[in-house]
Amino acid sequence: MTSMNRREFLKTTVATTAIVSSVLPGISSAAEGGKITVYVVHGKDIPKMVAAGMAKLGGWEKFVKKGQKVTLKPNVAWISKPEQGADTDPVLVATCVTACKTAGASEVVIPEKSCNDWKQSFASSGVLAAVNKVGGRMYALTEDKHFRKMDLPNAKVLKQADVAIDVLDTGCLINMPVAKSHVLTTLTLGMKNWMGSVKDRQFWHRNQLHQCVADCCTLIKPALTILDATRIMLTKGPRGPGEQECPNQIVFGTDPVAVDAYATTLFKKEPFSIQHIKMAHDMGIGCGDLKQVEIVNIEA
Amino acid sequence: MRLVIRILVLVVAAVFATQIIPVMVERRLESESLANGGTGIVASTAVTGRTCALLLPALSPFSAVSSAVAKQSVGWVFLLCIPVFVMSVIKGRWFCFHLCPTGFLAEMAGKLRPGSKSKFVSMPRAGGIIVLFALGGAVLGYPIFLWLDPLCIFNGFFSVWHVPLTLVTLLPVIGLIFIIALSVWRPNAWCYRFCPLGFSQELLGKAWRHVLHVHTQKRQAILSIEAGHKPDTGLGRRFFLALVAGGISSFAARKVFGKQQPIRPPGAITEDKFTAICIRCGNCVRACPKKIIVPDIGQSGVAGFLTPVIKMDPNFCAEWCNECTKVCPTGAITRISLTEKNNIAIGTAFVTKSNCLAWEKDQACMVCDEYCPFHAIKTIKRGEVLCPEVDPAICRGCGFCQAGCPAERKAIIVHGKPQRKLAHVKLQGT
Repeated sequence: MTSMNRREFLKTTVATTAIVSSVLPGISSAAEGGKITVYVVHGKDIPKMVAAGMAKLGGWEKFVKKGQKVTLKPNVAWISKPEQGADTDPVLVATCVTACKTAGASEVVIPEKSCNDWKQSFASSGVLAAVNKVGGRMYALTEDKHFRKMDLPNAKVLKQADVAIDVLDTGCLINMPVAKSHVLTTLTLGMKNWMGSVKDRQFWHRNQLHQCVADCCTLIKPALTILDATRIMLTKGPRGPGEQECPNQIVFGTDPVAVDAYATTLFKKEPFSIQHIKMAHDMGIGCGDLKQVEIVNIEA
Repeated sequence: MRLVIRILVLVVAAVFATQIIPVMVERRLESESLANGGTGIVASTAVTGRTCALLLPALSPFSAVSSAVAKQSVGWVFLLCIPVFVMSVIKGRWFCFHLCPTGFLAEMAGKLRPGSKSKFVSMPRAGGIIVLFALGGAVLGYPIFLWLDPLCIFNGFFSVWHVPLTLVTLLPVIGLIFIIALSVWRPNAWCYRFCPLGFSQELLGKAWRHVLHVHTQKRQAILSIEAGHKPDTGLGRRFFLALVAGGISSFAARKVFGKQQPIRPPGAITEDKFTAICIRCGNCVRACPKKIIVPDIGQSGVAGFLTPVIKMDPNFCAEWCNECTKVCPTGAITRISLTEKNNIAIGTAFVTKSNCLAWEKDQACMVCDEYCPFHAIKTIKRGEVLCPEVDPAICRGCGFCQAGCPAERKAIIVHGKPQRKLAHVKLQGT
């Protein structure tokens, strides 16, 4: 019987871990446990809050490479005023556009497929005006040429999808959802926001919406998620008008599932009570278990 | 000179009917706003001159007076018919000779065959019957034949040219083509034998002269009775009989309904008057930015041929728009504000459970609830699954749910209902 000394044991362990983690990158990131951090910035001055959050994450330069395109995906799906909270705050979007440009982005594009008439949604939300002012390019995904057919090999239901080209081919993809209630998925947070980047939404509704939301996240992997929880819609979402609350928070994180998991607590809900968070966690897209997520609160 | 004026009027009328100017103004405002870092959106409350489209059809005293009598109300649009009304009292067919664009086209077409210039004389004076039938019907609230007004036929011809161009939207074109074809076959026949507007001008002129000469006529009548002759009341009797006949036939016509109440544009007056007072000018079809208003073929019966109906899927009646209510020359669609429009139910949505993903396949769907601008969908909990049901006290029938329904066969469909006012609902974004 050959015994294994400590050094050998360590070697094998490290090697196995390396192999496993290279084969299953998803699981490894979920299993990294304590390394997943979600930064929650409290405050009222949005530009200040963004600056504070990004300083903790290592600055904009860590995400935005010089001369590369940056794609932002705010939620501008509905005809809604900024204070009504159905769309991402225009100041937040504009702040991020400015910051990306300062960090050296060649251009900042914001593609969005609205549920309501896009002109009315873009206008009433104030996002288009704010973005135009700071030199971003926001446009509606209305034509077939905006999309590319993609295969999703790791998906369970959504095996194929037409996804916005600007979401696929970009130097840095940043998800900027707004936290609000939703009539069929209970809450709509970061992951469900990608529904505004695909052509055929109706397929999702016909075929297990929650699974499709999770499936889509196997393909679309944002470098960063900035969740707008300055005001949240508690009822009658996603369209509103509904009851409101003002947590005055912006949530930053690189793990899309962890950000969503934290956001559920704002609505006094368990992360795994939202089916697509549970599914995404189980599929290894990210970590939805808040015990393994470090939540850092920052005042700004 | 007369020729220049007539060509000018023709062009201006065509431009108004095609609503080119408002579209151009909107485009300019849009690009200006975009260039200035704005959103490029023209608010639906902004005056873009779309209302100009009603100018031409509203000039006609024939359709204006008949529809005002039938509705028993007048708006400011009615005032537009007064110039022509006054001119025809003073000068008879003055408008016909100098301004009427349809008359001009008919005249030009008639010149193709100068040989048969006077063949129309043997044709019956149908125009008179049309006018009297319309007036008789108007008293009973159903003025038939209003759609024979030449100005609205002209307007209809030009207003249909917009995308998407389908066979159905092209149908209103036949009116003007028919007039031109008739004028080639029998020059002058339309103007002197059929045109109700022409005859009503003649009638007004005659009536005025009749009033002027009433004294001399009375004296003559007395003289003739004294001389042993019966007084001449021929015209009066015929006039009266035609009015009565118009009343009776309108009474019969308004009983002819389609099988189903069609979905009318918001602000439409009651169905039993709508099919008569609507002159099929095509303005509302043209004005709709969502292109959901189409000329009807058969849904609302024979009486409603080519009247505007709403076809929902794949678009819907947007809650930020009331363009169609701004362009009706006869008031078949009343002028209402955006708020008023949003509080009118043009129909009601119904859930067909056998098609519904939630009711039939236990899927979590509720897209109808997600999209409904008025929150008219009630959520029924059936075990774990949430299922939709429509609250008819809130549903406006805008059709957004129908447009969004992901089921293979639409599970929620808007059905026509007599329009009714509902309690105000605060909309998101207002």
